[in-house]
Amino acid sequence: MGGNGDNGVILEVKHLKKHFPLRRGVLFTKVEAWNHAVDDISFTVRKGETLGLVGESGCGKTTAGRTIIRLYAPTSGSVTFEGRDVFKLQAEDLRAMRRRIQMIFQDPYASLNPRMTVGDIVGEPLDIHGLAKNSARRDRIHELLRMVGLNAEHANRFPHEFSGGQRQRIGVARALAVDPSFIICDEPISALDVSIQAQVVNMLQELQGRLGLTYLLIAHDLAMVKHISNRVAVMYLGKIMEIADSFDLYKHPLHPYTKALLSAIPIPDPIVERERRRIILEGDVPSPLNPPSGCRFRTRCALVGDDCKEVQPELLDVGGGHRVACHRVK
Amino acid sequence: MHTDDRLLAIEDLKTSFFTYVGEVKAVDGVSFDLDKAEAIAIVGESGCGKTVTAMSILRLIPPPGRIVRGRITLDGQDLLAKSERDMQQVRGNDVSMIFQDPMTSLNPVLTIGLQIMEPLILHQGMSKEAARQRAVEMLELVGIPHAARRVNQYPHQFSGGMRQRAMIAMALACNPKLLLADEPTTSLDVTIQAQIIELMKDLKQKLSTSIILITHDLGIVAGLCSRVLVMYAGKIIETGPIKAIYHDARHPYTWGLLKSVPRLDALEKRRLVPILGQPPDLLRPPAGCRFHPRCGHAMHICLEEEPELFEAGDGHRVACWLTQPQAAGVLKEAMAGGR
Repeated sequence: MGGNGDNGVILEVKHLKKHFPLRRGVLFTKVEAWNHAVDDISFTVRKGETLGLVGESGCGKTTAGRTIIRLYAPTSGSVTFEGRDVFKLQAEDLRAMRRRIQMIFQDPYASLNPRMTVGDIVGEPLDIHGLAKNSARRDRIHELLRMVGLNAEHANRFPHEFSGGQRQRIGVARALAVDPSFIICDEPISALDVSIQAQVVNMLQELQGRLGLTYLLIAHDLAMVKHISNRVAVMYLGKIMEIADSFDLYKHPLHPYTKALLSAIPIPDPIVERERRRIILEGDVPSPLNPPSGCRFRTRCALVGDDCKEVQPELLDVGGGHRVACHRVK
Repeated sequence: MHTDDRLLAIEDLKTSFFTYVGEVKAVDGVSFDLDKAEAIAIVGESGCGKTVTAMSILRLIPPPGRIVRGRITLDGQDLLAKSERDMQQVRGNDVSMIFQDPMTSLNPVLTIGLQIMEPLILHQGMSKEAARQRAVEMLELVGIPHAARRVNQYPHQFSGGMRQRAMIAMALACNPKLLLADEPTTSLDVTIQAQIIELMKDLKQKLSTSIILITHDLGIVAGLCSRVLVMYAGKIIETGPIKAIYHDARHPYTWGLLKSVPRLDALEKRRLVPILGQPPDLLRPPAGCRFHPRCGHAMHICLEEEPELFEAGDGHRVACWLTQPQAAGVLKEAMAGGR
């Protein structure tokens, strides 16, 4: 199903920008400033892989995910999914695309309608896309619930009867209902307790193997992203700073921001922890309303030079698909 | 029975919430102590009773909750015997607390400065001028730039990390003997979390305040604390020096906690081992060991009899029947399975 791009690329994002207007005035007609939430990012995702998109709050990772499936109208740029330009799709074609790309949300408490039964939540996409009716619909719902480790009997219950981990499973079943090939997981486990996180992660990995899914994983927990992803892209203030194979990124981080981010993550081992040197970044992330000129990270970077202020570094390949945007990396 | 170094002793603390459907035993027979200038951690998942333990120390349990029994001794004074009026002198003065969410625990309509000054004026009887001076010093101490100007700003003008710094400044303003830090970095980004943890380490040395860190993140404990208490369903199930907990854990729940999170420094991808099932309903906790329905190594005795905290040497204590000599065979099997 669907046209495949060449060399297994399922999604290609090129120069994607999403700027939100900050309005004021009585009728909010005057645009006071622009929030540069996502500012010219490009990357590709290959079929069957997991690409992790990491960064701190406000770096634009969620906006990027939502713009890709046109939950937000893009400012500029292009997204090609299974060989078709997502931003040019109209009505029917757009709906067909949304069957192929689904999303799992962070908060399993807010993303399920409390007045619908689990069966109806999981069945709603089937109705919208006209995929199954009556007994076929019921069978499909039961099959989906079993796929995510719940029982068929759960279909008649309401979301409040479930724990956080189980609710996240319901969200996954809903996403799988339309048989997607690509799932955007926006912080799928960060609202869950530690012992439950591993259950959900293992389930996502099993489903990926079984159904041949491709994931774009948006998260801030770098240890978990490293565990799940094949490749990782690090975002800062709307831009991608570094992108590499996940083990390569953790073993040989090149961008000063990536280095600081990795060093900040505590390791649950007192002996290792005592030996580690932490790079403490000064201050806070600048406002995306008025991002620094040149390199976005220069205001907090220890290696900053004159060129960083003037020229925006490009995301350049340093070998083996490891790309980094920094003037200091040669 | 307490030595000169002992700051806090909690004996058999039991705090319950009496709801319409029955008694929820949130903290059920917890005992531990804390030395002066020592930092310990209480680790566990949501609902295990770690926050209720801290709130019990401050006697801030909201109804229908109540401390049912136990003894809390701070510096030789029995906190549970104090009148409400005396207790107010303890809160914010001898013991203070920082919370998880710095936005909802700061008053949005008062300046940061006034909020730091309030306990100083109330508890230490400082004049307004002196209190303002001290507030600026405290903000400088926690690393807020332009403290003299920032002191007059409101919480919304501070970023998340700065708000948490301001909370710490407020908590430490009266030079408390004990600081309760309830998930102090959970709502913060990792780079800001690193700043706050460094700050707490630094302040612990400078001011020799004792700290009880409450968290679900075993990572941040490793760098800051000397001892760990692991709680599950209202009870301490394992406690000991950090090295013992991280490298020689004896309780299957602690193994589970350590194995269910990936480590950043792992050199290969290994399947995570989740803890099966869910934490128990505290209205009807399971009989015997509370962890037995989720435990992969449960034996007959675990279903029937509750294990006490057995000594495992060097201050390491474990509430698990596997530690008993009769269970050597099962333990060996469990260890072979890579705990």
